[in-house]
Amino acid sequence: MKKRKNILPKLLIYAFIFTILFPLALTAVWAFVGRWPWPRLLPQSFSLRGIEEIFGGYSGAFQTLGSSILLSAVVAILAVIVGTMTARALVLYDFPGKSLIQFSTILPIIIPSTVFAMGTHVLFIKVGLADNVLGVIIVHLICSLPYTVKIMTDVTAAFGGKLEEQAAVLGADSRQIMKEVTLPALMPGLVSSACMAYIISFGQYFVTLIIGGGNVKTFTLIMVPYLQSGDRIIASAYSIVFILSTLLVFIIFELAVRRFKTDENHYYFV
Amino acid sequence: MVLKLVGISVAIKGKSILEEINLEVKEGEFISLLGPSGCGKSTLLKTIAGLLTQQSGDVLMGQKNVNDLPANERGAVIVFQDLRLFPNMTIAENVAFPLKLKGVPKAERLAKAKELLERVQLAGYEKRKTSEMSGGQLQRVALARAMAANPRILLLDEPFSSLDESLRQDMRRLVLDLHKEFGMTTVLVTHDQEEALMMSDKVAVMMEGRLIQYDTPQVIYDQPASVAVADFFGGGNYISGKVQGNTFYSNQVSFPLDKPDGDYLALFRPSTLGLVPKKRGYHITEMNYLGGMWDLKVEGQGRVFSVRKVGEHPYKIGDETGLEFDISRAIIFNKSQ
Amino acid sequence: MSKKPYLLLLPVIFLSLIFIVGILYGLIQSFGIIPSLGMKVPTLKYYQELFTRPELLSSIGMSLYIAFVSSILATILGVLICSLLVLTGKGKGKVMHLVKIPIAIPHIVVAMFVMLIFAQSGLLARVLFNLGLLESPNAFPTLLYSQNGIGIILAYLWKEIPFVIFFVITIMANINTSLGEAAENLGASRWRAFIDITLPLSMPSIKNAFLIIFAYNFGAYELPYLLGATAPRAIPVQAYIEYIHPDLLHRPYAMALNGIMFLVSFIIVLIYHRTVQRNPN
Repeated sequence: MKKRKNILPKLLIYAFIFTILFPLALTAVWAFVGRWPWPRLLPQSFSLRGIEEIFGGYSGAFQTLGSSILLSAVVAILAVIVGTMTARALVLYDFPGKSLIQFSTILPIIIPSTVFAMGTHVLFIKVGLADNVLGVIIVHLICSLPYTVKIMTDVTAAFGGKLEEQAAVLGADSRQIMKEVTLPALMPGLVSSACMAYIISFGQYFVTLIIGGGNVKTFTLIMVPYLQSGDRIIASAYSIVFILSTLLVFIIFELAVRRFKTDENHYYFV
Repeated sequence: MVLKLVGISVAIKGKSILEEINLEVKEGEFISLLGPSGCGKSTLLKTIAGLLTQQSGDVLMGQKNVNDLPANERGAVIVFQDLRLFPNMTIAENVAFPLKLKGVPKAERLAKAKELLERVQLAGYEKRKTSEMSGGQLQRVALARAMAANPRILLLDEPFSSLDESLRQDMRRLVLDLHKEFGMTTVLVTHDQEEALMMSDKVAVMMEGRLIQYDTPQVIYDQPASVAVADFFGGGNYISGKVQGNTFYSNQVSFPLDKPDGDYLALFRPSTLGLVPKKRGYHITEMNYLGGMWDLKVEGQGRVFSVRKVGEHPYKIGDETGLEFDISRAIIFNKSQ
Repeated sequence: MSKKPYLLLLPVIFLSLIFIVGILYGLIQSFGIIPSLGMKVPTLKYYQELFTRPELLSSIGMSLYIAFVSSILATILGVLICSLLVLTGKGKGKVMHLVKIPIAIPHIVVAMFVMLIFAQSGLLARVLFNLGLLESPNAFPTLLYSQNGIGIILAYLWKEIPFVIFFVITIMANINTSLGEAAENLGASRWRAFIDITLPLSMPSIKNAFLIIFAYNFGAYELPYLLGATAPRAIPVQAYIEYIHPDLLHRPYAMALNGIMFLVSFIIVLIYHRTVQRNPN
């Protein structure tokens, strides 16, 4: 009896992990399928049709992937900068209107992007930001900010300007404080918020569709028609490329800041 | 470096924390800011260092007003209670940090760091990370780093409060040694009255944002400025009485006192009371061993007195006894004040 | 007070203004005010019509149904698995890395996962067929593009159970180690301590996770668009159809549908903000 009690929770956890991983594995298989007719449990043949569709050149998918990554990387960097600034203000200062700012930073998580996208489209048409990349960057930025602000607020609050005070009394001017103390301490948070913002931008469909108005093509945007047409092989290939490219970008983010990286568990306050 | 505070008032978020603080610390002096937590002593430290800006008043270092000098140019270095070592640097890099800021070449500053680490008995720990050191070791690192900044004024913000007793003794010794060796003006913030009395040339007692008394440890202990200060150093037995014609009268004790007529309070610390076995009128109701001495509670005339007895004694609970007062060590407060 | 915080906040204020003004533009149009089309008189007509046109009314019903079922299931299952992770001490390291995967995968890819597995010719139907439990693909229940919305709900669950775990686990683990230990020390069993102490104290977090996913599932376009039925459509899908309708007079209907989503989500924001303010961390 006692033994079964211990096994059941573990079994459930493994089942849960299986449900996470299984679809990914299935997609990876489908991306290389040639034929897989009903009712076979295993593919009949394999091919590179899906991969060629993306990298073959004639579909333009590869170029779109490149520009899409660039777009999302720009959004990620901007989101990290704005998120860090906002977090600093919210954590280190007290000022009238603070609660209002906190309130407005959570709005985009909860107010549906559908509502926000259509209204903003009307606004953007008026100011000339509709149907162009800048407009798309701005709305992606708005969608990712709640997350970057949250992450950066946590990281900033974790050392709360204390190390900066210490550096100041030891004789560091504001430029030295920034370089020697603030940046290294924030670094783990900077990486995770960059990744988060990148994901949100790169996976964005509806908002890009409306604000970009077809002029701004992203990888997600060109992938959806294959999903709708039911071409599982190409859709799977797109999905796999999507996931792998995201991973690659994360690794690059990580490496780019490696030299600053600190062990995040070791903020030393006794 | 002489440190002088003139009429310092600080408010944070609209709430007054410090009011009209005046304080002068002489060149090379070691003083303590003593008070209960929340009395504003850490705020005062940050104000001296330039991390907080006072609403009014002046901070003077040497003879110079440093109100407009930013923290990094004041040369007043704080060792914080939570140490604030930089997690991304090794121990040696932490200590060398102030030198790096001054542009000292790497080899030179690391050599200096090594020297300072040796001075705080941490030779050989240069390459360690902060996460690989114990609390007591980190204290020493923080101290060495502060010394590396060559402080004109050293500010210690309850640096020993997280240590256990024996480590705390070691650190006090080390701080006093460093003070003697380098001679920098030092301000120690503490809520531990023994620590303040033991370490300082002068003690500043703070309460609720005000400086209540600033004097040598002996004067603070023997002539506390108010009942609150006396209580902070353990209080004792208060006896209400009257002075009439240069004599203090009360139910328990009367003695000559050269004060104007009026209502007074006499404080007898437990060590100034003695038991007189042959006399009567008091009963022993409680005995607590304090290590090397006893605290006896003695009841009589409707109240309880606390008596300190050093060493062993022949009493047991229920014994009847008399009480004697060492009137030369009575502390007198004017009640009408 | 210094101006510094406001300088730091300048970009976020600018972006928030775009967000708010964007929403206001939509709301204004929902009241029939589109000056460029000569419509200048505010009216509640479009909102009233929403509640009289059956297909629009059933859109609202559809969206509420999907949002309720998926977010309640995701919250319950998420909290359950989270509890198991905390109680078995597996809530750290490798498992948590795996839990983050679905959070990083966009909804359209998840839609495809669901298609590969749950379509009538999908893997599940094939397995059942080969086990002799199914005679033809058509005998497999329609989970995709159907009014039961099961495909959409499954996709949301895949993404949001991990989200709930991720959102709740830190606080739950912290409470469980500190207060849970105290309760155990007082004689409560591990499960008792968990149910009496840890779970109630994790409630604010759990509530917030629920609110976030409910609002999302109620207002998101992608999954209902890719996996939903053509009738009734979820509100966002219907709103988009009205929005891109060549006849611009349909625009206010789109905005009125948005207005309803806004109202629901704004109430959620207020509740959320209040919980956060009352329970910082």
